Amino acid sequence: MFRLTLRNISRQKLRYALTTLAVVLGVAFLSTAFFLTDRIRDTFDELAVEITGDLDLEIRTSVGEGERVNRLPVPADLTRSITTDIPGVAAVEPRIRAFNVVPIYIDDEGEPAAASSNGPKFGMNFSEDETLNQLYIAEGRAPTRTGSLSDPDTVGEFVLDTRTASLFGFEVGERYVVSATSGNREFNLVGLVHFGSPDENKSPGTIISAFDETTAQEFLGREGLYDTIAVSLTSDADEAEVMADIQQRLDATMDVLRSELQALPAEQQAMLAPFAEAQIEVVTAATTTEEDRADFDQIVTVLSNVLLAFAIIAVVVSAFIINNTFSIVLGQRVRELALLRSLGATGRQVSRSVRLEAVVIGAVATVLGLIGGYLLAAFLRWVLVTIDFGNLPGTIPIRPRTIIVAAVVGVGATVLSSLGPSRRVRGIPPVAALRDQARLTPTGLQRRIWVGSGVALTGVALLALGMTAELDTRPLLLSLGGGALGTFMGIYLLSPAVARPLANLVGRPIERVYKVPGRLARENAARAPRRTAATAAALTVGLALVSLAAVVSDSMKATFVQALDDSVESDLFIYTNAFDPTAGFSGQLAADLDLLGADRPDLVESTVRYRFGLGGLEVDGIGRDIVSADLAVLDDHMDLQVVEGSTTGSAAVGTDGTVLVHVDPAEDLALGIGSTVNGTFPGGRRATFTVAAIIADSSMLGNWVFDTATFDRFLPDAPDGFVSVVYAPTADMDEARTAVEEITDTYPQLTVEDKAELRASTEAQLNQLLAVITVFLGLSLFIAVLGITNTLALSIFERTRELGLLRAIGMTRRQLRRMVRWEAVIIALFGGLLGVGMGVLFGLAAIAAIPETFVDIVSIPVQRLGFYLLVSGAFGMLAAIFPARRASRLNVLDAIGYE
Amino acid sequence: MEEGTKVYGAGDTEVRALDGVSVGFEAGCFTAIMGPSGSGKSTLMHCVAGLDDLSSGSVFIGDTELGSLSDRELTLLRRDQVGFVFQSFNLIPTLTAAENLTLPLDLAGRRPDRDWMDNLVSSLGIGDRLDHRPDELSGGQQQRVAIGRALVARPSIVFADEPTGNLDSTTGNEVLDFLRQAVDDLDQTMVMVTHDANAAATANRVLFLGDGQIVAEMVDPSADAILDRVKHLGG
Repeated sequence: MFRLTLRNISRQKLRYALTTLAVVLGVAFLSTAFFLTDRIRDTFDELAVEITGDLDLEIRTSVGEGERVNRLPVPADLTRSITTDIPGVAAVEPRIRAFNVVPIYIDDEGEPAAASSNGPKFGMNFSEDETLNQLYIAEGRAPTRTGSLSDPDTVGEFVLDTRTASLFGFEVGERYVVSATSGNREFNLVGLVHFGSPDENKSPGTIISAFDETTAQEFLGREGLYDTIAVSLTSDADEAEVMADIQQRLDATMDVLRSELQALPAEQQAMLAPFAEAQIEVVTAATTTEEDRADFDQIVTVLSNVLLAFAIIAVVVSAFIINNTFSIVLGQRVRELALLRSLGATGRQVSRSVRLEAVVIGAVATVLGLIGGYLLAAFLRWVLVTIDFGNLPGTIPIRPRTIIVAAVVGVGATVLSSLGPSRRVRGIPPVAALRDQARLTPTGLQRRIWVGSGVALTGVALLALGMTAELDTRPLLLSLGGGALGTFMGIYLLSPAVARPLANLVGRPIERVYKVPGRLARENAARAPRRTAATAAALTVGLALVSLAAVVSDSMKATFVQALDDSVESDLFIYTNAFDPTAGFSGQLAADLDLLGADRPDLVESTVRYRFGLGGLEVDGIGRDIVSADLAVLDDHMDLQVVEGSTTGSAAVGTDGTVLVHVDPAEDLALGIGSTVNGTFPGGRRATFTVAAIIADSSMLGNWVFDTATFDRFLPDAPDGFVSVVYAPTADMDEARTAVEEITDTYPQLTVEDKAELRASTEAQLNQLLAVITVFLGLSLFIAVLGITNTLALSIFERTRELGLLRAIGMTRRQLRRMVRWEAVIIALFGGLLGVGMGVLFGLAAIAAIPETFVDIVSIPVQRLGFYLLVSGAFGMLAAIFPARRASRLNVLDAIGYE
Repeated sequence: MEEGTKVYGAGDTEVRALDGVSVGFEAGCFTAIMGPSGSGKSTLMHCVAGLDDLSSGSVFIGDTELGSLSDRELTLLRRDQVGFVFQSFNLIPTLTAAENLTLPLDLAGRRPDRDWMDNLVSSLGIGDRLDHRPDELSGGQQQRVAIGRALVARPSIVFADEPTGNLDSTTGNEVLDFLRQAVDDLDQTMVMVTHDANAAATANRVLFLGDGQIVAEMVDPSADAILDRVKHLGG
């Protein structure tokens, strides 16, 4: 039986080739997701080790529930007690690692431009210590101290990482402006450095500027502070013992520092308080490496999940195609299978041989898919490196997991798809061998309609429940996800029943234009509704998802525009990278703008700076994202839709300031005007705030809004995230903007936009995101095209005599091609219509599930959806190229004589 | 056809299906072609009808030499000047009887002549079956629709390949009568390939083929005479 199976496959190569190709592509996408993310994960793992460097212990402040980007620096005076005098300590190196340090160069047009990267932009101290240093001089020399920066004539020195230097053309010996959160300053570039290794730069997509320690402290806002202190141990040291020793000294030193603080003037005391009150911890290198790895892992996992989701869609789509191919091919082989039966093969043997065919095809496809996936991953790595996403050096790892999953999915999907057809094969009676027109008996359409309706109605009911009822997140997602799946399966089951009328409907206009070929195309598409439906299903899946994405993104856009119109009052926005939560810029800008306002009150009325603390305040056990603004003038800039209270309300005695809370958390935590909120900041500082207002709009500033002054006391390190400007009522808009841009021009990393520009750029960003998603889903559409090609090729094979007859009585080759082409278009449009319809339905469901902050308004992009329909028709044309040519090349005589 | 030769294969496996055949089919004449299997009768018909090309020699329909035509020109010629009736599978299953009937005209984008259509339909006796699909028609009805289709474009010549091969004798006779009628009443040129002596007896002229050559010819023969000749040739 096995030999027969192999013969069958090798004899019908062409028919199986396309099926195999579908599985190959599915497996290829799947394995690419693994190959590529394994490579990225490995790179980040290596990076996590390099970031830690050769240290054994790290001294730092604790962050509790907050994000690690909010970690406070430690007092520099700790190095008084942490020295190599401690038994077991080999070296101590203070580290400064500040974000948002941007070197500025002069571009080809002679304009200042900011070095840009996808990763963070670090400012560091360059350490001379050889054991703990992470920066290695590749060119020039190390930066040295040239004088205090408080002297405006001092020009300091800095070094830059080799990657950034070569990307933007920084040259050793030249003088450059570097923009940090303290402001802009000129430095001489005295050297270039590799990060992580003496031989090559291991940093993927980050910008590193480094200064000597004291200059770094001055310039990066770390006077009297270090970000961390790295400690290396002697080879014979007992790590736990040294840690306990260090912790003891830390606590003692902190006590001394706090008492010293009491002696300082009040102003300085307030400035240093957040650092002095922070809890200091000492952790092992393993801990910090693990933390970095976990951070990177989050990013890679998201990427991996996204890629896997697309790959799974591709596999599902190929499963439809395999199933369809098996049904058709077996239908065409009924007589042959019946002959086997009449020769004594049992029904079970026949059906087993079919399943065996599936196993062989699945196995072959898995091997080819893995090879293809590896090549695709290599290609994507090349793309990522080329578009400067960063370096991904080393070989692409081949993990057993990748091969096992690919094999299980590849063979599994093929075999599962063959189960239905192979079961039907069992029922072929031996006598069918003698009949002229033997057919496989499919399950009754009647039953299918009943089952399909049931499933579809359940699905729609679940969707409706999810959309209307107030459910918690988990049951909500369950009901929507289950609803979507049910609706899809139901409609898939039902689609043969609607295939005929819908194909006729779509085909009617085509017939009007293309007469006989059009008429025959319509009839051919409608004659085997089950086949048409199954073929179209692959396209339906792809289009449903593309349409879903279109509906959701369009609604997001509409929501954003609405929020912009409703809540934003200011005239100008200044920001850097909107998508990087650590991205920010110097408070000097806002100060300069305030000066402008004081100088020219006829132009600028007020400026508000906004700062962000992601997970910056722990309230009720949850790290809350907090934002600060200048509450005194905020009302002129933003309408937060105050429900109750006032943004400028006063704080109750004994509390640390006021807070504006969105209605949702206010309801959850039973907060009202005048209630107090207790929270914990990174570093463990506790604080109490008075609720001054309950707000209804969280689209711009989120749920928790503090005053800038309050923020300064607890998160002094946070840079400005964005700044808004309101012009004087009588100001000439152009003049005011020119005045503002004169200031912002010195910070080329910033974007300055008015309301209309902000709207346009945000829409452009959403469009870009949609385009990326659509391209990925396009892969599954590509497989769907293969499916249509496959079905058409098989149908043409089946209709050879009919085609011969048409040719004999005078159908030209062109008319024949046209007929095949339009049949494909009708099938594709049928799939497209179902897909777009379902996509809109699923889009509505998704919008119901997404928090209102992101999507509140439903907007259906009719034009875009119409365009998708056109595209699906075009895909039909594409799919028909090969079968149409094959059909038109048929030899008329052979075709007539064909049996 | 002049000196028509058709060779399949080459060397040892060479088969001369037609070996220098010269034959003409007079306008308004009903010719039957008979011969044992492998005698070349189907090849002759295919070559004359422009479905297959000759290895050497030439074929004319009217004044047109087929060998010089492109595939497209041949197709248009078949559509406009040649009618076909095959043994079985004559109709497109997705089209109704009426649509099958007018298919050559529709393919050409021409309007059928109403009177001519009515005339055809009534003489074929399929007026009440026009809206039915082929699988709802009997074998005889299907063949009658096929004949109607062959005649609808008023071609120069109609070829029928074993048109009664799949029918019982009563139905077969009806079909033959109709072919005869087309020749008599409409002055249609008709060529029929058959191995049935009764069918051949309907024709004005019978050609006998053997080993790729015309071995005999009879004019207005009776069925018995044909049978005799077949026996004679075969023996």
